[in-house]
Amino acid sequence: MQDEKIVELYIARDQQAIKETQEKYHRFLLKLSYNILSDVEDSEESVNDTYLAAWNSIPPHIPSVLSSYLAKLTRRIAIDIFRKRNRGKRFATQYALSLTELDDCIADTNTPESQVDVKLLARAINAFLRTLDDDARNLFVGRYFFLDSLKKTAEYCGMTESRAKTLLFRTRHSLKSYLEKEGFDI
Amino acid sequence: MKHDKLHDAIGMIDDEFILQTQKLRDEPKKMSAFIGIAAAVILVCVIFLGVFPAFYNSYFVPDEDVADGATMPDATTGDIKFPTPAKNDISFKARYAEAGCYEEAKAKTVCVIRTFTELEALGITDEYNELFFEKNVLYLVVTEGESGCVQYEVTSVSRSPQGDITISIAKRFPDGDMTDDVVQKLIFIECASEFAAESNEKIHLDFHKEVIYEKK
Repeated sequence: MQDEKIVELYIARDQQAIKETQEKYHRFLLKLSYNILSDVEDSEESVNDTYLAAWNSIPPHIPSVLSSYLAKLTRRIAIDIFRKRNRGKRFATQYALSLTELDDCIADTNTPESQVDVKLLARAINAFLRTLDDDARNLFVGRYFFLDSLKKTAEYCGMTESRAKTLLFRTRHSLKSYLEKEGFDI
Repeated sequence: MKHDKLHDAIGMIDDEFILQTQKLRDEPKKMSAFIGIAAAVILVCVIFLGVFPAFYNSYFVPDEDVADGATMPDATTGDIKFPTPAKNDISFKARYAEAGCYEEAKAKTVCVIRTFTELEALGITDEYNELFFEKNVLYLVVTEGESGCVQYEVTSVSRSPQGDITISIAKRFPDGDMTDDVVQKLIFIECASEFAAESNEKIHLDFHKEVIYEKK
């Protein structure tokens, strides 16, 4: 079923919307969630929570692109589960690895004055992504939004793993400089 | 945490970027020019010279009985014929491969993989399929980064009455100088799904033997 039709079902409060979403996107969402949690049961739970969140938020929200809307919900829910589950611990999930990689891009200051507004930061990252070429952008989104492994990301971007590693390293440094220039506390 | 904020912000990027990358993810796997050439060279060796299989088996795989490809189950029954194990041990088959790159965070880790989706998420799908996971599971061991000439051999897999799984692995060093490269190896241990550990915390690695082999 087309995404527009599924959204219409949500708007009409027809529970078939969840079944159709599940049929079309379950595997995609499960994979994204598994990249963060590395646990099948927790991943299933976060995907089920995604369906509930979609049901509760559409309407009033009408997503223009259903797949990315669901991906964002799953990502956020799975990360919340990860944070609750792993307080004070570190596990070798793709999410945990990407945290380490992104360590130097923004300051770790927790005073109220220095709290970074996440929305402002997101706007800056969007602007930064627009400055990148397709390869660098896809690599960045694949690695840090979808949390795919470096190997897999390099594979679907059509480059070797070492080239992907170098390109990601450069992109992270460019992001750091860009955020500094935009006034974020680095 | 600073990186948490960054991740939250990345979670809010524009749909157009997500869609663009998603399209690439959905496309059939691309093969880079380098990999293509390497694959062609290896194919020539395999077909005409038979050099690669001999080299692979003698250098990377220490045991003649160890399969160099995934063991595929019978297409109708989904069963795999595992070797008869010693008393109290689990029957298994092991495969050895090199990781594409060195990742410190994964060194000396082990996990149980029960579904094809879990394997896919690790980016290692080429040798297995969904049929395999209908009746079997995999244990994946990532070794610490060491000289590429260090060999590993899974000698036994056992399960305690409490459900703890112990994987015993022999490490072998060459009798001469070691090569300077740092290589992380992946060990796939195939066994029936009834022997799946309840959780990764229940799996223990025992690198119990360190012997020297004669370099060819």
